[in-house]
Amino acid sequence: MEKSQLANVAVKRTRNTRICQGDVFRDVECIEYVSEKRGIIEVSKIVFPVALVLTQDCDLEQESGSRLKAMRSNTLLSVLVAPLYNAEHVFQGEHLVDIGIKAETINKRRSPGEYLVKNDRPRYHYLDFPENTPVAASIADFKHYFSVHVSYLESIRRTNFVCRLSDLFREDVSQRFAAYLGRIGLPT
Amino acid sequence: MSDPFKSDYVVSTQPITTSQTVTTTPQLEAPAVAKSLSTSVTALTGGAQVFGFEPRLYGTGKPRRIVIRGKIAIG
Repeated sequence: MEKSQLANVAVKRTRNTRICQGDVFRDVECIEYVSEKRGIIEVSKIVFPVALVLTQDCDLEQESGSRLKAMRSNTLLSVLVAPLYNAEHVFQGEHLVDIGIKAETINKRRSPGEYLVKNDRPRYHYLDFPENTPVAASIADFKHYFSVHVSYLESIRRTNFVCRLSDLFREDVSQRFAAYLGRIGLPT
Repeated sequence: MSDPFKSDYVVSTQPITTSQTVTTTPQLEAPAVAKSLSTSVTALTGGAQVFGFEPRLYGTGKPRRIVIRGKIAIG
C-alpha cells in the first residue's frame, strides 16, 4: 500500500490552540471497563492507532472559550471520535483481529471495494491523505465511534496530533456520519 | 475546590498506590503490511536514501487491547 498520489482529502499539518472537528490524533485510548474486586483493580482499554474528532466544531470552540468563565453552560463532558482503520486491513477484514473480532473481506478490485473508495457506501468513509502527511490510507466505519473526556484529549493534543482535515473535507465527513447515524432501518 | 473537568481531579485525598501488571495483545504486522510500510516510507522520501531519520507512517497498526491489573493500597 503506497501512499497514493491521488489524495481525496486536504489537510492542515499545524495544530490549532484547541481541539477541532476533523483533528486526527494517534494512539487514542478507549476505556472498555474498570472493575474492582477485593482490592484488585482492573482496567481494560483499547488503543486505536488513529482517530478522527467528530464533535461539532462550534461546540468545541465554545467549550474552549468557556473554561475560564464562571458560568460554564457550554462545557462539554466528552468528545466524539471515530477510529480510522488502515484501509488494507479493512479490505482484508483483519482490522480488529487483535481485539478478537474478524470481519468480512471487501474486494477492493470489485464493486464493494471500489464503491467504498469512492465514498459511495454510506457506512464507510475512505480517507487517502496527501503524500506529505504521514498517515496511511484509512477508513472510518461509522458503526464505530466512542467518546473521550475533553481533558483526556486535551492532555494528548500536543503530543499525539497528526493533522487536521481542511474545512470542506471535515464537513463531508460530518455530513456523511450524521446521515448514517440518522438512517431509518425499515423492516424488509 | 477541585475541578472534575481537570485531569488531576481525584475523589479521595488518600494516597493510592498500585502495583501494575500490563497485558497487551501481540501486535504482529502482516507481511503485506510490513512491505507496504517500507514502500510508503520510500514514497515519502521520494525514493532517496535517508540516514539517521526515518519518517513515521501512522495508521499502519491495528487497534490493540491493554489490560492493567493492580492492587490498591490505601493508607
